[in-house]
Amino acid sequence: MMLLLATLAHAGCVVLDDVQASLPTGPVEGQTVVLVGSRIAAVGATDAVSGLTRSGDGARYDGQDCTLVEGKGRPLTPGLVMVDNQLGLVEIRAEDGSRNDDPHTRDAVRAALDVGDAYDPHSSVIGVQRMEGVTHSVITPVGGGFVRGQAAAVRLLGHTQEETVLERGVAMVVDLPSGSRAESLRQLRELVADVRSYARDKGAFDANRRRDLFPDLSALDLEALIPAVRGEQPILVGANRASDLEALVRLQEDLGIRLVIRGAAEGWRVAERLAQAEIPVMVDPMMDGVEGFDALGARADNAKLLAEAGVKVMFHGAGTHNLRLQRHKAGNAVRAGMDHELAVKGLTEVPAEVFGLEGIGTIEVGGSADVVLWSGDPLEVSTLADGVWIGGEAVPLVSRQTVLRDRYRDVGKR
Amino acid sequence: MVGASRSQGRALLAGSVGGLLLGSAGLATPSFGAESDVLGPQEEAGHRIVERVSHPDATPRVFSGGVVLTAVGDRFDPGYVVVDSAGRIAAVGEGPAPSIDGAEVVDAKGRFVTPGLIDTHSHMGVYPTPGAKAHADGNEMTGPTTAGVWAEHSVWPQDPHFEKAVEGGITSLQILPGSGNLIGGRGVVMRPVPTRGSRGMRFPGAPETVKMACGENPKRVYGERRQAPMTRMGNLRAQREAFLAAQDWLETWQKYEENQASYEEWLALPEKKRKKDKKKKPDMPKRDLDKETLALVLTGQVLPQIHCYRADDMLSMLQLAEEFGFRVRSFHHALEAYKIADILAEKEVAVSTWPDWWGFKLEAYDGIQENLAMVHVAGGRAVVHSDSATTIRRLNQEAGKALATGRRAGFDVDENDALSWITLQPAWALGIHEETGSLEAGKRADLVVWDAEPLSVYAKPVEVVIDGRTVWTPDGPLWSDFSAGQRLNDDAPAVEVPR
Repeated sequence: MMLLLATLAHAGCVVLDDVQASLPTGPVEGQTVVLVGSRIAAVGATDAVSGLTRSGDGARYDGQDCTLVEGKGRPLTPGLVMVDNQLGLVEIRAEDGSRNDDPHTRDAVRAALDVGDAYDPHSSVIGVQRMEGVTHSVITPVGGGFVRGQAAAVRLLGHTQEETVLERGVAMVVDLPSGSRAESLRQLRELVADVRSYARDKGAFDANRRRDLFPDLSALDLEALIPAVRGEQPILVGANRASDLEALVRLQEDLGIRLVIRGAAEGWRVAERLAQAEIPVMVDPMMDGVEGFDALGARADNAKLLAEAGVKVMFHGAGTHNLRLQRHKAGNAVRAGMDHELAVKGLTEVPAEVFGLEGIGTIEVGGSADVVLWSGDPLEVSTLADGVWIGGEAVPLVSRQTVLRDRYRDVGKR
Repeated sequence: MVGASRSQGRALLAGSVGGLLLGSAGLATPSFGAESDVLGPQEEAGHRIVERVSHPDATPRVFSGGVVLTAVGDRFDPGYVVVDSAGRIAAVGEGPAPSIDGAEVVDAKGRFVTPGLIDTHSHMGVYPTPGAKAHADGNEMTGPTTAGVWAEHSVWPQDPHFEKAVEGGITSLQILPGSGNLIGGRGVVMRPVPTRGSRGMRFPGAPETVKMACGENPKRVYGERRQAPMTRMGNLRAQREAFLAAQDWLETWQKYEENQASYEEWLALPEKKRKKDKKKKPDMPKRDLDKETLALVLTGQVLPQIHCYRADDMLSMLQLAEEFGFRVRSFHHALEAYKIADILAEKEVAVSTWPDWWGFKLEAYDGIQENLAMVHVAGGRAVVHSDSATTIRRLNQEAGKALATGRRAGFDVDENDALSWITLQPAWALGIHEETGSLEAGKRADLVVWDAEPLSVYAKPVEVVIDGRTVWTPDGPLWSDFSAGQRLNDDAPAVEVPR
């Protein structure tokens, strides 16, 4: 292990030659991408990057020595950005002692909870995802309650929270339990009204001159909810049934908040409305049958129909331990007709944009040097990552799982 | 049989599979590889099908012009498969298809033909969709050993997930009770076909199976109730006690069957002889459904399918099997099989597992993606299972992933091996490998026609065939009564119920 860490390449200069680069305009063959320090320094046709010279198996760019990687036409995408999971918060789902994501409190509102405070950059779950191209994740709080707290964006390489927690409060996570969705929506309206009234006259709250507030609302919660009720911070909610999606669109319009919806299994039925309201969704393309009473209308081409209507589509459903498989979910969306380029963007550019992560999720000069070199089509099950760079650093392609594998590699030969 | 020349194709009979089973599919009474055949009439009575399940003749067909992947090592490009009117494979081979009188020719150019996919681990029907309290019929958690319950008595044949599984190329599957119990009851090998009662879905002649579980689940379920078992040692005590009791019961029953047989011989004697040496009809021992299932495990008539994650837990189960003289047919989940791949290969225990699930509980912490490949290269029987109504629709992708990660790590596995993990190897784990699981002359014509390389994420079945009859094409039919009429508001195709 010491050896591996010692060889972990420090950010310097990397030239990725002759790749099929997934650029914001779409995939382009014969590209060269140059990473200098933690940034993307150049992107261009392989024979037309100025300031770049090659000699033998090395290269020089802008006066410095670079590692040269022969892409040989392989796809290079931005690092994959996952959404809505508990990476770094949970090691083993069934073991409370290994979890740091469930507050076990009966507080209905925990808006001030910042999940970034619990992120453990040393979790063994991280390396498993990272070696397969996942570079960033929007992690979310779970547990019961109505307002579960604030999501944080993390990068999957680094030793401290300071290095790894990129942005806090990228979304407010709200749960709308089944039973009566109408009641959940009423509660959300009441909560928004309470926060607005607090924001108008904070002195009244301090002087205890207030009508009764929503249960469990503390001063910290009220303060934390202000950006969300002003529409400055997205509110992440789950819903699958078309009628629930419709009600959420109305709620957003009435309250001037900004929603992101997880699930949307019946989204295709209200795709135009979601597009009009500019509500992004995260869908699971493998939910394509009768998937519960809230998703009797689920179908395989949901992602395709949503994307075609102009809805921003991201992917979810791969849990926390197998975020590495999210790209196969996107592959299944393509299998059912979704545009390949949009599916790749749903794993990179779209989540970065939806959660406000600047310089992440695209291959552009000046952007963060997070890229993945794939052995083939990044959405195909036979494809694996041949190289992963986060902030310009080459990620070692090892994990606790590869260590276990190598320990027993020869057992069958005994 | 249509008159295709077998020598043109691969006429390997299933003996090449190398299993220990003698094979006798088609018998009403399961007796696969049994050392003895006990409880024959009793078992038969318990499985009788009330509804009449019709099996119309198949149309003799020749699938021609496509790539044929047999799952026994061949890739015929182009190849052909000949299906006869009995719904069996008459010939498989490379090159142009033979011309067969009266046979319909299916142009498979640009398509790929594989055996039908087989899943050894499903809870469809016993935990159907939509998830509902009223349909939670998979775990009889009223006591830790319930060997006498049968999954087929819980299966809801209208579970809409059955037809979705066919859409993914599934032609046979094992429905199991859950893993809440140490001995959860009998599993059942089924065909995902429309019937009114679950028993009509039984794979004809398939052996009986029993679900067992080790490790965390049973001890958690009962331990939380302050009830045995609460520990792994409690798990083993309860399993050993159950088998001890079954051993006793089996001896009593076998003695009875012997006495009954000699009584019947005596009855057949001439009266004179009978008068000389009188015999009394032996008393039938009290029947006991729990003990009967385990007694049939001891005689080899019921194949144990054991939910077990950790390597050391699997070794405990192998010890249990040796102590009582039975063979474990397949471990399920088996995330640490790679740690004991040599032993599992030597004892010929199949490993039914996922390519990449891990981390949901402590006994699933050491899962690795190369598990299947490592079991395979050790000479063992690797099986991709789903344990999920959604991944069962994509078993081909699951195999594709396991192939990719295995290869990446330097293990010598190829497409044909990976295809066998979802066809022939699961067939063996269920004891139906002489009847299905590969494209070989003589076997049932269970096959899938794909629109792309079958292990690709983009591959979709365009036709699914069971016993020579098309059971699914992209236009349907759909048969679940639950799904019927649910989408009248949309422009969905009308639901056809072929019965």
